[in-house]
Amino acid sequence: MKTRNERLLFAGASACVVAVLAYAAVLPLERLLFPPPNPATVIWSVRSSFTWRVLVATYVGGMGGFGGFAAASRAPAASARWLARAVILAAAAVAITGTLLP
Amino acid sequence: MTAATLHAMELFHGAVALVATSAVAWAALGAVRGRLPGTRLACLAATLAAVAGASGMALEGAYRSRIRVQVFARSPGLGWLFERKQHLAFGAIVLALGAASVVFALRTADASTSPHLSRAARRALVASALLAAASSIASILVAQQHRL
Repeated sequence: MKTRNERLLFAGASACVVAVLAYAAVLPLERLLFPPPNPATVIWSVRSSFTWRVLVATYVGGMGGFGGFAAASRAPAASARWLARAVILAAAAVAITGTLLP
Repeated sequence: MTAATLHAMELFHGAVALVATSAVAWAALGAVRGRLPGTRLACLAATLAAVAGASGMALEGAYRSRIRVQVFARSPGLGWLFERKQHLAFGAIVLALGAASVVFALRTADASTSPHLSRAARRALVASALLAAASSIASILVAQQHRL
């Protein structure tokens, strides 16, 4: 990846993959540490766990974007190969945690 | 937010999400057949997915305060199905954005990275399409049962 634009685009893709991985990691942690009350009995809550999960995943994804940019500069072929692998991992992780832990 | 505004936003969100699912599925189908989508189709699919996600986030407050408790009181299974749908939709939207980013990067990629980036784009598109399809089906089931 020779041009800066190419590395920035790769960083964007890395950020997206890391964000999905982070979401899939935060969900079981949240269920373990803060078990949700029965939704049928909660009329309204100030905090939206979904919104916070999305924000945390976006924040971690942003850090992954910086990592992706650095990796694309130093080892372009290896980082591209790892991105292809990480996509599968992220998709499987969010599908499994999303299905098993609603 | 009035009930009429909420209903209009729900319809908008549902319609955009279905069109986005179709666009991502179309791009993924081409990728599976060995032809990655062009930048226009990838950009269109990612934009539609982002608009669907943004409208869904805008509805989140109203969903929690007005709809969620009704859905769970009527049928916990339906409520949990909708919660699952949110997780899958997040994955679908973000992977569609990632796939578009890789498709754009492929325009100037050299021989050492191009095959890996193509593989990443193909996988991201297929995963996004599968997650979006599952999410759309779950949404339709919940809306049909609850008559949102």
